[in-house]
Amino acid sequence: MWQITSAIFLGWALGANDAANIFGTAVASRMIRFWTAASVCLVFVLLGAVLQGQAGIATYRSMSSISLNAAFLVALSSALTVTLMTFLKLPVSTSQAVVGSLVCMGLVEGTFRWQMLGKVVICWVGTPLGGMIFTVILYFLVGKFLNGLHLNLFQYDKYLRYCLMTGGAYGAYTLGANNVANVTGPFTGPGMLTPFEACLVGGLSIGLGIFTYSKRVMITVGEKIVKLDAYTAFIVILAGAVTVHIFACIGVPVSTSQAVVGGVLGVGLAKGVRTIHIKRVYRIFYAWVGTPTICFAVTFLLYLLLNRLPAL
Amino acid sequence: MVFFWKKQTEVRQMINKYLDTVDACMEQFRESMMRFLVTGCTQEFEREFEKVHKFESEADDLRRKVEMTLYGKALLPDSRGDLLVLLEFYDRIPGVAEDALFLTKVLCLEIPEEMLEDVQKLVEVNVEAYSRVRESMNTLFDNPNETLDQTRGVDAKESESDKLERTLIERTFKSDMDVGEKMLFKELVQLVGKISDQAENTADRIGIVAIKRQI
Repeated sequence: MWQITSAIFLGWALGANDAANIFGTAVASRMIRFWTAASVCLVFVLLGAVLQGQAGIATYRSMSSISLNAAFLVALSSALTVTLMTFLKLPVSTSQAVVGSLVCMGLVEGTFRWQMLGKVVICWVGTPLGGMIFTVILYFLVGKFLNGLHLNLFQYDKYLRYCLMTGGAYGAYTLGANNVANVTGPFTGPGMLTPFEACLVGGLSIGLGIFTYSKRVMITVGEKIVKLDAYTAFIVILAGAVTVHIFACIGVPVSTSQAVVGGVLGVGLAKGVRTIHIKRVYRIFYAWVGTPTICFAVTFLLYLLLNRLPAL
Repeated sequence: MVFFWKKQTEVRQMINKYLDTVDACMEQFRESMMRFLVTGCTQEFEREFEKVHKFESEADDLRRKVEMTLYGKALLPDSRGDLLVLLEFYDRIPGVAEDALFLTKVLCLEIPEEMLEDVQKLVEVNVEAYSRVRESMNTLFDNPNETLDQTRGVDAKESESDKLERTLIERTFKSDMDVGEKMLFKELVQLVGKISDQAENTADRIGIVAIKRQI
């Protein structure tokens, strides 16, 4: 049972980092208080995890059937990689870290199935692309709808607040639905947790991260997004949520941050201005290749190290 | 969330109160200038100047209150920033009106009779330019579709004021007035005309705020 602690650690790191992509704007602009945002986020992350989180778990199970100790190592090395890379300010994605680690343990235990990896990688590439395409579509569709309402300055402000709140709630739901597999998915293979238990524990540990450590990240990320303006920030959050939701239905955990970056690029296309620098695109490529590679190496090193300890 | 809607309503009420006070200030300015043009520098005129000054100070205080509430995060950052800039622009109009009236009081010029009608017209046109700005603000808060049409009306009044200003200045320098008086009168005419210039600048800002909300 103690092995689950590494999953809780990973869920905590994921909640602390990824909630900022959803409620950063609202909290940084003090539209809603952090505790309100965190509570809404927790409720919807849990709902998403419990109602739609099982598809991602099924994907990880079909990717590799690893032992309980290997599952512990996957979660631990992913959490360490994410924490270390965040500390070093390097681009990182929890989903890509978990896959890198799963590949490593699957190869070590000889249970890895390569067929699923192709599907996962295609979804990684599709995440920023989806964020970009949905942003362009939603920018014009929602814009047309709002223009049709003929809102005055105060009504416009009020509507946008509602939009940011509901968009954030939807984003939290998709975060739970899509990313819970990263946290506890590897533990369902060895049978330690049922898929429902995995979703519940995963959702709660993400919530723990949101409540204990996401405030500062929300303010930092939120202030960057606010620079877009409230409407485009809402569209980016919504487009990111729709993209992540689609991949949750397909059953492939992806990066919410990369969906948001794709969305920012989409804003540039919709407005006909440059919103992103080549450096940011490079960071996505780096995360695609760098995160799983580093996590693969960390997992292997930990495996070698822990294998020498008699207790494991 | 309800707390924020309350704050938003509070801001709107405060802005309305501010706009009403500026209205009163500009109406008082018009009345005072008309009195001056009819009766000259009387004690009554000086008392009326004090009323304009009082309204202008009151409007300043109200604007500061609105700004403080806005800085207290009453609206989204975009709307907050737009309103703060807009109020700064709007507040310059009564400021210029007060300056023009103060100069009138200090100079106490005797305006040639043949120019009185044009000066009256200049005052009326400039106060009308302000009224159009006020209407533009109303549409921004109530019916944004009409905002841009309203702001065009301010442009028209500003052009009218410019023409009147030039005509008056030309006539001044052709008149028998003393050279010093000519210069002072020119300055006064230009200061009154500045009201519509400021109104035009404010109308431009209002237009930008309206356009920014069209996606």
